[in-house]
Amino acid sequence: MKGTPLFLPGDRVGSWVGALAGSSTVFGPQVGSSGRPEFALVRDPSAVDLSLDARRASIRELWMPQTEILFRYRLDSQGATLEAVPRPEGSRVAFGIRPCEAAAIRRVTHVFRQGKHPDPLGLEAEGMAIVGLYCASPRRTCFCAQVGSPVDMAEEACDVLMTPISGGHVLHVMTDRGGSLAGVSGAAQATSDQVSAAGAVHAGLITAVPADGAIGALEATALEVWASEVFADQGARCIGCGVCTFLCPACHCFDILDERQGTGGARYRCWDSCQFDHFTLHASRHNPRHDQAARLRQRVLHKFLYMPQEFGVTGCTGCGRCAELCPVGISIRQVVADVRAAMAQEQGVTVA
Amino acid sequence: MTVEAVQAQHEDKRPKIVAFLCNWCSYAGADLAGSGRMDYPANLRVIRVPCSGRVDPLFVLKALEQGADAVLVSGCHPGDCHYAKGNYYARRRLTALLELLEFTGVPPHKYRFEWVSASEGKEFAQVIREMVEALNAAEQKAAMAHV
Amino acid sequence: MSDPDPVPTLRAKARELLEQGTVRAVVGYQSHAESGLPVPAVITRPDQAEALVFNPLCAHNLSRYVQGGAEKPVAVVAKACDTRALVVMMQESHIRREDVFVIAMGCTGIVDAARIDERARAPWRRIEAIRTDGDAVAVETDAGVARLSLTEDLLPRCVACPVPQPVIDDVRLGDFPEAPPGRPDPLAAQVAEIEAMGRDERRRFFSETYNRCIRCYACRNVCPLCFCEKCFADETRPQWVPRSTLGGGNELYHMVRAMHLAGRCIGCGACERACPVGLPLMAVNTKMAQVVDGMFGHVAGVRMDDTPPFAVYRDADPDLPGHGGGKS
Repeated sequence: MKGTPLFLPGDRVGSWVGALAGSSTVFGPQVGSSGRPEFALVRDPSAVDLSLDARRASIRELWMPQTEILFRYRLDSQGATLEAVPRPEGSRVAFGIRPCEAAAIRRVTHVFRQGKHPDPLGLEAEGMAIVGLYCASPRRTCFCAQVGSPVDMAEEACDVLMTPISGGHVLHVMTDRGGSLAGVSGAAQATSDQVSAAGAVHAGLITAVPADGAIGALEATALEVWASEVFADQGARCIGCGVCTFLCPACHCFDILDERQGTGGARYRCWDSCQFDHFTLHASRHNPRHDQAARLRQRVLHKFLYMPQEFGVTGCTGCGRCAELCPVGISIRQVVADVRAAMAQEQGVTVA
Repeated sequence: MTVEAVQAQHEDKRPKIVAFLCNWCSYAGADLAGSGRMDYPANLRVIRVPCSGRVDPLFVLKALEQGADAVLVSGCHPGDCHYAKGNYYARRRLTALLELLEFTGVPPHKYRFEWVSASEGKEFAQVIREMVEALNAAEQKAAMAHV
Repeated sequence: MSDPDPVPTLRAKARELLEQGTVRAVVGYQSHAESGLPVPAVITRPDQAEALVFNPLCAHNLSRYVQGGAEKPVAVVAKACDTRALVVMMQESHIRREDVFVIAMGCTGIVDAARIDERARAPWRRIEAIRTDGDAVAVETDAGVARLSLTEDLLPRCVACPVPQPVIDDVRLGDFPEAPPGRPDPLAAQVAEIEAMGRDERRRFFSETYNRCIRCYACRNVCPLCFCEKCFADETRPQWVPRSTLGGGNELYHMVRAMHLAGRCIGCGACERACPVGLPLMAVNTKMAQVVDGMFGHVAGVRMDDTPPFAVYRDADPDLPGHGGGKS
């Protein structure tokens, strides 16, 4: 793991969060009002609990709230008045998100940076500092090590990476921004034993995720996989809800709506899902993605073919939320593996 | 003046009661209250429907979501429906809706379902008086809680 | 005649139905290639029948897959509770009886797969086998055997199973309990707990619940009885439900859906299990089922010749408060 290694004792986490919260808005793992772990705004630094497994909570809220009002308007006898809603100001820190989640957030910025007009709404993700937390063990559906490497993801996306070892965390400082963050933690230089212990954790996660399930970007053209029966089979199971897309840290589709209430209203942005049946419905009632198989294919190809072609990275970092939370158990990893296997069988070759 | 400007003039008048009144009985009853110059609070926003059977529970819940302080649904007495059966269907829907509203803790002063006939102008005025009284009392109680 | 292992018969039947062209597809359960958990599958070829399974982890209500545009005729692997959803669909003319070949599977309760995590000796990734062993289900994972109890580890909706016999069927496989188990119903207990709260507390409970909703519509999309081609929540002319999660849109969506399901929801609990943020969705559905039964004497999907409760009325129906002699 690159970066200068420091060590932070376990009982200093709260004070570090407190120090960060002094100058930034911090989000960290806490027990939510429902009793479930979630990633939320830190109001009380001592409520942040790194031992919580918040890996099935949404983290998209950190940079794109489900609903975000862009402006309000009022109508009266004088006409219309617009009232801008101020963008959140100040620096933000995502504290304790995992390498897969961090990498997913960073990769989304490719989409918002392309073209002549970078979209400031999407670049919130870029401006957010990430203090990542390496996983000691995977959840059942985690597959980060099968679409890449959690070590690479941490280096790609984190400003600082925390790795849990006995007594606390080893901090690897990856960026200058990370250096400032670590500077208020009170962490001291890590000993070589501590660095080795962290290294063992890094390697341990990779071994804990079975190697035989490795997949990657689909090295094919869209046309070559378009008619794959895998999409039809899995599409027949898919119920077209938004769980996979809404919980995915790399998904970013949104809708912009104007809604009226009484003599005023608001324009807002809210999450949208390519899995909803009306996502590509035209005003003419024609729907180019006319069945769930087509919509499922779109999600898979977007993450494993189009994004790699455009940006050189998969739009999936193996966090496993979709596979665990899908009401009917569709696993994107399995779909990609099946597509490759089907192509191999068809062509008598191994798909790279 | 635009519709919006007219609306804006009445925007601040609270509490606002949205009332779904069936054309043949309740709307006529409300009209009778008016033509009889019966005094009742001017907080009503009437939506005339052909029959209480036209009222979808969605309308009631939507009106509350849109900021109505209370919703009234009123139709002909069972047995007297202009379309013979419409209010019987309404009765099933509304009694079920009452249970849902109560179960989910929606304060009772925010909804009322009634049967008011075309000749019951006095009763109609009384229903509105009672609703506004209850709304004002609830508002006062909430204000006191902040003291 | 007792049939302790109906799976081979199930596979043979599915193969036969597809070979003979009696059905275009069979909706059943398969072991997920990755986790080994049973998941819904739609098979269209006879050779795919070998992959069908049935065991006490088969929680999904497969009648969901008979909705709308599905290719008909279709065979459905259905537990007794699942057949109730099919019955409601037929009563509402959404499907015809001849569209569905019902393969009713005997069931003494479905266990909660979430408990496997607690009971396996170590974190597991794959289930290799599922065996029923008396009163327990032995789930053999790659991290040891997790034993789940067919009395203590049941899904809440199975504890007091009200309808253990299928309401309709074309073939019955396995053993069906003669009568409900007579255990106290956790779903009813939850409703009672909420009713015992004061009104303000109930309001807070539901407000906080619906505030957490992210409007993924998993609850609606997994529900067999939500089959409107255009859901009111997706309607834009007019826009009934604001898509914003900041105002009252979440609550409006859930309340209206509860009314749409009143007297139709069969209590399978799929909505609550599908919710990614853990909303207690069964509470209002259970309450409304109690309301419709208490006021109109109607229970969803238990008798083929029933009529949908809001499409009929009786003179003696409970009346509005302050009116009539009926209790509301």
